[in-house]
Amino acid sequence: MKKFLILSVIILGTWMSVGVGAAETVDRSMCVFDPSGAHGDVFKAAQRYQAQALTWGIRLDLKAYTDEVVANSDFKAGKCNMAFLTSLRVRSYVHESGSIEAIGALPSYDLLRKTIEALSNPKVRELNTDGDYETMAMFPGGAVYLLLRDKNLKDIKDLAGRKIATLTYDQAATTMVDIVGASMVPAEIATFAGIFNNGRADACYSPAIGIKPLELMKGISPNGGIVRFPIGQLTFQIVARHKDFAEGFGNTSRAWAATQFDAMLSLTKKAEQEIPAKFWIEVPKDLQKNYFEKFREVRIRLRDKKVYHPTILKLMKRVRCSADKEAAECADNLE
Amino acid sequence: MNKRILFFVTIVTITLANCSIVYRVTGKTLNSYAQDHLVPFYLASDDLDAICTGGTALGPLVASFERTGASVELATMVAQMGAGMCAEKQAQEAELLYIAAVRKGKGEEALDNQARQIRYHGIAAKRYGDAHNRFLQYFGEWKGKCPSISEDEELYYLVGLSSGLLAILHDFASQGYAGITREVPSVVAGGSKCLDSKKWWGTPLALEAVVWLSVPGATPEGKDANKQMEEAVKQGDQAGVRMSRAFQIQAAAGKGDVEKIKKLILEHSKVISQIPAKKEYLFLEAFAENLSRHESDKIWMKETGHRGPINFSSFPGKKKNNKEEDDLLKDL
Repeated sequence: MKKFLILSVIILGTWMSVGVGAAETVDRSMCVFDPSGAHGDVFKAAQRYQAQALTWGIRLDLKAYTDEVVANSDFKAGKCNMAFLTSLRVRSYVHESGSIEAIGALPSYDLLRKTIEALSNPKVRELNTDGDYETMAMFPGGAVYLLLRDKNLKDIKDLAGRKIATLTYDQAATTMVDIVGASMVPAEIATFAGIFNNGRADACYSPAIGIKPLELMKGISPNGGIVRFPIGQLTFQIVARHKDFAEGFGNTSRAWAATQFDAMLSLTKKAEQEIPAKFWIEVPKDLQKNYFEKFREVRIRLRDKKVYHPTILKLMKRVRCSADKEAAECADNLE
Repeated sequence: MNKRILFFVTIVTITLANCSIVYRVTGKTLNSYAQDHLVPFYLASDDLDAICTGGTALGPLVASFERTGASVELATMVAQMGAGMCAEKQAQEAELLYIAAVRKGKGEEALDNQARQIRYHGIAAKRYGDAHNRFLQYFGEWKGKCPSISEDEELYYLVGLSSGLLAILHDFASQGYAGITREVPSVVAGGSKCLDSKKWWGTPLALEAVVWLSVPGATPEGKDANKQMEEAVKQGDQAGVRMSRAFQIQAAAGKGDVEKIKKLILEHSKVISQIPAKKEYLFLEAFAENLSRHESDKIWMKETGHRGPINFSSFPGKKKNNKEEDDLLKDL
């Protein structure tokens, strides 16, 4: 009996030391695009994700990129298992999640939060996957605002015939320029501020976080302003090849990312509060309608061109209508 | 009885009035002592720990003389710079432990050290931000035109600009905890033109270049940020005050190009051994060295699990096959 007990203890001890040890950590890599590089807020968010991922058994090696094109092509070439990119680039991997930035679809941060939370629900994993790829996380990057050199142009119809500094790779912006009848001044992230400030364009667009560092105040002073109606929501997303990760990793990752919404938005909110009140152009309700309708026209055109995914447009419309059941669009069937 | 009360009240009033005069005079004396002796003494010391502890301890005392009506902006600015460095060193320490935890695959340890790192970045941002605000109080808000700066004030002007840059970098690292205004980069880039770069060891040129390299789209047309940074480094090397190198390495760290960071750190280490540092500014040298050492330690920690050499003179790696050595060992 005693021998049996000792044997049992030995067997049990051996089994425990083998079976209850720490799970093996798996090495993976992530290419991270942050316009400010490793000092920027997105890279810091990637580091928080890195620490969190360790608790899920993944050890991530991070590489910072200040050029999104290079980060994207390195991910495409398989040099990293994951990539932290803007939704604009993620759209080419995961059509659905990349459509969340659809122009004018989410005019407030609350609506964006609801949408991100809805998409992090395990029931809709398929809305985050597309072929070999999966969106593992979504973070807010700040609302994008229209900046004007002349505040009298605050109705979107006034932009007809005006020049707008437009990022050439941004299909939504080029379509919007086309639909409002404006003309495009081709620009890059590195050049749009100079074009606007020097008066070579009547309007440009930027998240609030870029306004002070790029001295866009110069362009809007003395007669211009910032239209307080978000033309879109910039989001940063983590995209990966799902075969590189354990089953269920995506659901865990998206659920955690949704809890980081406020932390990710803190710098943006501070940047928005820092803009002096005199620079904001408030848009009256009736003019807001004009903006909304023009943006919807852009969204529908891009949906029909297969740029935006119809399911996501539908989800975002539901989110809008859950917040404002009386809105006219809730009775129609356009999106 | 009434006379006694009147007498007592008169005595108290005179005493109080005298006290406030005495305090104000003390404040002024302290301020001019700080400018004439304490700051030069600080600058000539290479003991970062002593200076940062001194700044943390003395900062509130010096700043308290503002209540007496004395102007103590410059002395407070320098003290707060020192205090910022204390928090910065704590943030660096937490960052190294976080990198070590990632290497070991310890999630909770990594998360905790990361949380500590973010807190200390926040404290550093507040202190550097306070230093920068004193600079603005003294020299006036930046309106696109250089203020009149006397020769004695130039160094303070440079310190004030640098504190702004450090404040914004730490604020980013702390998720905006200190709420540093986003105007700082343009103030730093604009204000740096108010100083003669050669006279101040290339630092003004480096400050402007680091803003261009950190803020996408901030580089004016026809300017090359990297070239300007190299020019700044050259001026600093010749003068024996290598602040520009610290900013250059910070900018490279931002870009995430590890090979370039290694190259720049090794260059910095080499130049220190070749050109002696300027004795009056050993503190700035020590600050620059500390930044390079930290970047070096980060690389060592990630690759080997421990810190690197104190003079950041090498990096882990495979030994190159050396033909001369092969010949020596042949047929032994």
